[in-house]
Amino acid sequence: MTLQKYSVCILVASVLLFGLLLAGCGSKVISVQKATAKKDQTHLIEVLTNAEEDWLIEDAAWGLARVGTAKAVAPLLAILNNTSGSADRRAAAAYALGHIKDPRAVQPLVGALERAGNPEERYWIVVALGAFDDSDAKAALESVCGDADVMVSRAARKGLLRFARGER
Amino acid sequence: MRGGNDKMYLRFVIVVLFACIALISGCTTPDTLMEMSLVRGTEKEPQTAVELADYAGNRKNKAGMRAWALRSLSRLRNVPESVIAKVGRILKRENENPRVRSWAAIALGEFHRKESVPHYVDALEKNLDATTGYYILEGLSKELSVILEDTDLNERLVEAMGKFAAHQTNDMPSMYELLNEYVCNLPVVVVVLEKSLQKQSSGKITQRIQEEIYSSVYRVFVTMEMAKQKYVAGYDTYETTLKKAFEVTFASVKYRYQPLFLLTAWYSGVLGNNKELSALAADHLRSWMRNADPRLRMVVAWSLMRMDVYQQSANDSLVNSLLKSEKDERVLRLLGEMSVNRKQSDTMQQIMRIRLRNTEQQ
Repeated sequence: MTLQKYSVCILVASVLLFGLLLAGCGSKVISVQKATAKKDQTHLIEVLTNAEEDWLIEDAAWGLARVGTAKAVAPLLAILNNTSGSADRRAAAAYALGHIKDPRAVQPLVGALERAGNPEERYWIVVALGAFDDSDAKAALESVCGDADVMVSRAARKGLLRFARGER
Repeated sequence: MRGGNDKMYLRFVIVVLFACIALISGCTTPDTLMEMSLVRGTEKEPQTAVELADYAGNRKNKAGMRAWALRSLSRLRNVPESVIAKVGRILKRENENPRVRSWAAIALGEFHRKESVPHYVDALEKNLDATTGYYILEGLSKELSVILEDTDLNERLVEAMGKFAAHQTNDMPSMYELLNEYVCNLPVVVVVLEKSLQKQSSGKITQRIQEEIYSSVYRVFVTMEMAKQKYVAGYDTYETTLKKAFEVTFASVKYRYQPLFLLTAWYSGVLGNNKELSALAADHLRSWMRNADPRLRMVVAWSLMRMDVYQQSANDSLVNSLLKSEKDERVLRLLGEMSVNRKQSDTMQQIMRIRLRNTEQQ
């Protein structure tokens, strides 16, 4: 083989390598967004369970809020109950649980609200509790009506208002 | 000759390889941008924030990637003031991509820094899409304590919120009401309206200016209405502010914007069914009784009727100015039909102080 043939092979190989690397650059965050658009709950749960990056877990949870079913509740509760994880992850999980509205989520959400120190985490837990027609959820909302954070107290009052109007 | 070609090919392959490596190493993806936020809590955090802000601010980069840079930046907390200023500049660009602008608003909110507030206020005064506006309001709601401690900032925000409201065609987000609840109090909204009137007094009056003034006047009335009982009960305490409020709202109609007349006349009636506040509004309304617009005369008549028993001047206006010259049957019908209880004299009879036979004077 001449050097010319070798060089053509190297050229083809390098282009292939470049393509592969570029494919490797295929964004994980974009894949989560695509999974949401395609209503691919399985992929979202997989990301929720296996990803290490906060933003991927958050995006997967936000996606499950839109397309998730009862199947997503257990992995979301695992995130919500993980006190060593970030508050952002728990907040996103709470948001998703509020959208899925599975009754199994009420007690863990009440517990998470009692533990939560971060106002944004508390806010999203309160928003989620406001979605349930449940006396424990109502009691938890009443307990934070006077929260020092205006967003939290307002969300609690709105939740109770919806409760009173039967808007569930 | 053949050896020369081989060398050329070899060189070409090496160049292509280097180009590939350079391209791949310089490949910026949403993931690489997001991974930059992993430095949160380390000494690299401020420098990374600067890099992300520079990337987001560079309009040569793709809008989508700049939005990711801002999202990544929003995860950082230890950011220099220069970064806040850069993100603020992105937010204030009226011709900026709306998604980039929204993420700039979110990032500023996530920093939880009081330096963000002036950028939000400036942005609210500009043309904004509804989504960015929402995130600005959300970001501001995180800095309520800072806003409430600074009177000037509070006034500026109320002014900017008025402008924002005047330019929106959709319903205002609930976040707007939340902010209003906290930042709007009567002295502030009156000062804002007064400043707004002073500022507009010399320039050309456009419809946009009229709508801004309408929005400010509306806010003054709503603020009064929300605490009407408090103001009536503690009138001596609030008298100066209330007088100023009515004075300024009635002064606003010089802009000859008919909705402003209707708004002012209507709220004067809403607020005026008591001795204290009717005293501040009745005389102003008197001069509107001969307005060419029957809609306005009707609203004025309704308002004065509510003030009638508390203010002699309201009664005088109704009797001498309205009834003697009013020819529009719709306005007259309103006066005649206000009472449907057979045992009561109707409104016209009440105004004229006519006591019906077998009827108790109301």
